[in-house]
Amino acid sequence: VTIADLPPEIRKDLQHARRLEIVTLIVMSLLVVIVGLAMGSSQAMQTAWAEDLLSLVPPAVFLFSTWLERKEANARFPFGYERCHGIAFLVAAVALVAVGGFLLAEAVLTLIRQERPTIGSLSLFGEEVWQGWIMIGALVVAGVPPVILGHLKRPIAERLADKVLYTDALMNKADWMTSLAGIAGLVGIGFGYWWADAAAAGVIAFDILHDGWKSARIAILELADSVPRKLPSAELSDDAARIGAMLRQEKGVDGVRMRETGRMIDVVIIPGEHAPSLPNLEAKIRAEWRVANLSIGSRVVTDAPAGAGDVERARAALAKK
Amino acid sequence: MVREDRALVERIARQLNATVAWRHAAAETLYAELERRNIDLVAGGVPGKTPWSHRIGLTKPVGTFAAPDMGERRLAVPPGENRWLLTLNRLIARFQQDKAS
Repeated sequence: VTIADLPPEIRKDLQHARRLEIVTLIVMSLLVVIVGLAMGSSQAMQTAWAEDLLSLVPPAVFLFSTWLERKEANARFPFGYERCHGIAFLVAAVALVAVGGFLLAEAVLTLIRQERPTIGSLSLFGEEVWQGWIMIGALVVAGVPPVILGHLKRPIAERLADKVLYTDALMNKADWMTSLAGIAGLVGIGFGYWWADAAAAGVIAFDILHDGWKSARIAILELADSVPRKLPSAELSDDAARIGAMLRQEKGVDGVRMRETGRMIDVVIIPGEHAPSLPNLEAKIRAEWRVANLSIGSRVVTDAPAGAGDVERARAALAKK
Repeated sequence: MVREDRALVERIARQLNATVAWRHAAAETLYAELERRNIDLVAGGVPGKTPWSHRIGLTKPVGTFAAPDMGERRLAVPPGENRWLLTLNRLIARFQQDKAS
């Protein structure tokens, strides 16, 4: 399945998503420069710079893997390029974990060393202005675009079953929350609490790490051929539950094995005594664009330990307790 | 140079209704005391390019050195004393404006 085979509304969403990611790359690169100029060359600045650089990873891998998705299967890649999107998901998720990790490490080190941030002043129009005000201004400017971009990406990511795009929306959330924490920290410093900046960053870091860990875990599960998952909760995906239930009713179907290949789902039918007819099954799931591949597996797996191919059992096992 | 900075500190003290309790020691000793916040200010040829710059606070330039590659002369304050630093910077800016006009 290449992008050309997808329904038109999905193709449109995908184009929209690609444009959003190009805008993200440009805007976030500009912000790196603006914030860099306002912040000066401190230790904290180096961490912020590393984070900003990492926040460019999800949009970059999204654009690369959706470009690969356009290619047709060939002699070297007989299954096509769908799974590249799964790899991109892992890379994006690890970048998000790294952002949270950097932020937390920096905050903890600052608190342990009891570093007191010294913020000087700048001459502006003959007035000495505390540089903290200028930094707050820069952080407000830096905080707005990620709020908007992340807000625009989330619904598209859900429609496209695109976990890379979803993770990038989480990265945008991490960006604006970091800006907000920075503002809170600067205000705290203004009131004389040297630890305010590090404490605010530390709290935000936990939230980012939590988001990053959830994404990374699902990315690993996907690459390890686990059943398709929802993104935020790791429960069985609704699409998979529906497809599984639909196919299970068909005559000759003993089980339905499913795994996620990027945004698509690979379905292998476990046949009963009398093998089902493939064209029949295909007709059943015509409306399901996420099914990239439907095949009838060997009878051998029916003798495998129970549960493989039992979608209902998978759903129950993964459901939130 | 040292005399100039001394006069500046006396002038700042007068503005703030403060008395200066002077201590004389090697620059390294004074920076370390500053970092521990045992003293409030170091003056007398503090270079802007000191390797201590990220462990203490530095005011805006108050003069120059004879050797141009040493950068500008500043005053040093304890780390994180942001209000103190801003107060000093404002006074220094005002004195420089007075001098110019």
